[in-house]
Amino acid sequence: MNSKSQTVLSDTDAYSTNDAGVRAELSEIDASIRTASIFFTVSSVLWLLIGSVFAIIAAIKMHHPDFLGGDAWTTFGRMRSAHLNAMALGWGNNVIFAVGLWIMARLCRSPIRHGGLLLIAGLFWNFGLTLGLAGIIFGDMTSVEWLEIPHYATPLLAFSYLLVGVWGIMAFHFRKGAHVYVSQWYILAALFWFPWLYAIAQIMIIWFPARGVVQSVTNWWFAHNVLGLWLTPMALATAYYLIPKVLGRPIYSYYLSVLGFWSLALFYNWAGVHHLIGGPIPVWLISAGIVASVMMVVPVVVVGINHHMSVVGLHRAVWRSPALRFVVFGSISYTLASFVGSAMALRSVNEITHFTHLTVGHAHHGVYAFFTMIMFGGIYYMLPRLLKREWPSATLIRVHFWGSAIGITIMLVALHVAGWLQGVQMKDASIPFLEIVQMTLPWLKARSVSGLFLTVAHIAFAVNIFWMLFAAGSFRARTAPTLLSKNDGEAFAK
Amino acid sequence: MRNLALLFCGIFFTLAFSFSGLILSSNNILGGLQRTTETLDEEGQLQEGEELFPRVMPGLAKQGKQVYIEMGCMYCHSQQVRRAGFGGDAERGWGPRASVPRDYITQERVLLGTMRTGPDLMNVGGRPLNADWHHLHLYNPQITSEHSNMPPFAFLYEVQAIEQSPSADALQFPPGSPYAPAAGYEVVPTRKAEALVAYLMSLKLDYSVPEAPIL
Amino acid sequence: MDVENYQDLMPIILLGIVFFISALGMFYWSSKRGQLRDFDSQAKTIFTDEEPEGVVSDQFPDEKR
Repeated sequence: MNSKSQTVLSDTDAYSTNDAGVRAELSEIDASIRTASIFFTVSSVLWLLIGSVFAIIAAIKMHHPDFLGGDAWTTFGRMRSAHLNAMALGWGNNVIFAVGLWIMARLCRSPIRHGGLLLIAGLFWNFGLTLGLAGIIFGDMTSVEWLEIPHYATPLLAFSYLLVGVWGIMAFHFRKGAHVYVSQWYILAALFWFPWLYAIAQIMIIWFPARGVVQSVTNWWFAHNVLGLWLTPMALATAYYLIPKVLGRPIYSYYLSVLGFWSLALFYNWAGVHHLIGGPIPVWLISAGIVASVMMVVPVVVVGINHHMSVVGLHRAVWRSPALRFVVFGSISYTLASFVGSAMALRSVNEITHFTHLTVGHAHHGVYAFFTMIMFGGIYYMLPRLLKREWPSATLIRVHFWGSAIGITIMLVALHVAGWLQGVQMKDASIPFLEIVQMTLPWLKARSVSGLFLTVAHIAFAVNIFWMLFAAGSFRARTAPTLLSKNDGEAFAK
Repeated sequence: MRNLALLFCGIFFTLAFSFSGLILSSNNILGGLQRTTETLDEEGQLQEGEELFPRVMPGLAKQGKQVYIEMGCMYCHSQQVRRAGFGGDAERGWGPRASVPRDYITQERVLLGTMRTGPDLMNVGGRPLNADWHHLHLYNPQITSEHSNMPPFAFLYEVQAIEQSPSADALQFPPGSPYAPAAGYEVVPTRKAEALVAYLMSLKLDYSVPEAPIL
Repeated sequence: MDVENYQDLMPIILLGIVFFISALGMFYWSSKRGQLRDFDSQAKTIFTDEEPEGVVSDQFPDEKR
């Protein structure tokens, strides 16, 4: 796949604008980033599976504390932290590098340069993370939320990220064509924000600890911003690209997306303090965080309107597209999770929900039902175009979708109910603490069951990916994957 | 919006704004906090000759904090008491007053925590639970707290044969406990367990500070 | 814990005002420079000859078009 004449539909007059001669065809760009994106995809899926194992172990321990309880290295605190970091940094970052950089490359309209840099970055990232997780499990965990990885592993992550970040900014700088798309703003912004958040948090909490609760303020500015200024923009970038792309219809309102971008950048930054409501920090700081958390309704509603109106009338096409099933599920979840989050920031609600399982449920609403589902959609769209092959099994795709959708729904219901009851009962001092614990146990068991659904879904996903990668030849499409060709009515041979 | 410099400015400023507003300003206000006497004299100065709070942790307790950190205790236990009337902290006897920023200035790692799968521990040392209780509870929480979902930490203890007479620090199990060792054996804490319990016993919110007196 | 003296907040209030004014300035500058125009073609930049507008570009592998 190395020359323009090989593209599926060449020489059409339809879309090309005046600088078409300069802009490369998508298939060329896809070919140039193929190795890096596939490396990151495979890494992300492996970490997803590993993270799922840690998750199941931690979940079972919550209602059967003796499970694997004999050794320090499988104790709950370490398993839970290993799960979080394997998922956030292993699944999350790798899938972001796989899909986000691919979208950036496509929108920058130029075959990528220095793909080797990305591979080196990926190796350092995975190695650093492995070292970090081993550190957590074998006793060097920091007990700083979202920063549990010990200090000897973080420089490897930092170096890896430096390569990726610089690459991303350079790709944007050397873009062809006059136009910039909303996804590119989000990706660029996220690429810039993440290293600063991480570096500042590492410096002010781990390396040169700030005094007292200043650490806590820094911690939650950092951790919430990983969600809001790294995971969220990358997922939104993917959704903004895929929804119109798959449907063949431009986004409803580009103007609204400008508003959405800047309001997110402004408000999300301040929302993190809501993790400390009621805590030993100045009240005005808490109030600022609450205001920002409620103001988040603005960008969320904007994005919701944009995505919803972009889909209106084409719901069947959404359902029939694997990518969009996941992406639209994610997009709807973004709206819901954010509204719940804004509500949770109100003091009267927070009095009940703080410190409970509801917080964990809300976190998974965001990172799984929103971020992860959208990124699943991204992979379903991207991989056939990189490999020029079809997905081997539609059944596995359906198993993946339903497993994830049902699993996360069970988890969210179980944790939100358990958490709410927990909070209400904790407020009533006449209810002994151990009775509250007992009340939560059936819900925590339901959460473990939901974890099984999710793990089955992830296994289906992984099997499909490896099948597609390694069963070469059996699924090669005749001209291009049927997902792409518009007139080619024949199904390829299976 | 196509201009990289313009985008960069906005992206940078939004982050810088929250960083300065939240972190730099709280560092400004709280960074200078010092230990204090429980009350101040008429001129607002520290009382002469009185003890300073918060206390500095003794050495064994500091080592115990390291055990607390590496076991991830914070992920189920918070260390902050909310003010009376906001949540049930005061009514549950989790602390005689709300915790304030000054309570944390002597800690190199602040472990506020965000989950209460287990009770808050800010003032656990001030509750009528002695070291023996803590050792039994850590060895296996079911001994003292049936149906608890806290993990067992038996790996912080050693089961050894009783020589001549039982060790002074051997755990005293309730009669007939299914967790007691076999006859002729005793359970003794390792140094890590001793340190952890010393840390827990040191967690006390039993002093006033001028901005938050115990009423 | 309430703020003892609201003067402590003055630096951050001033900072906020500075940011607000520079944000307004940047929006004004960018609209003058034409950054905020021509949204329609910017929205269509995702489409190309290979994957043009008007065509649904994803479906299940076992479904015929």
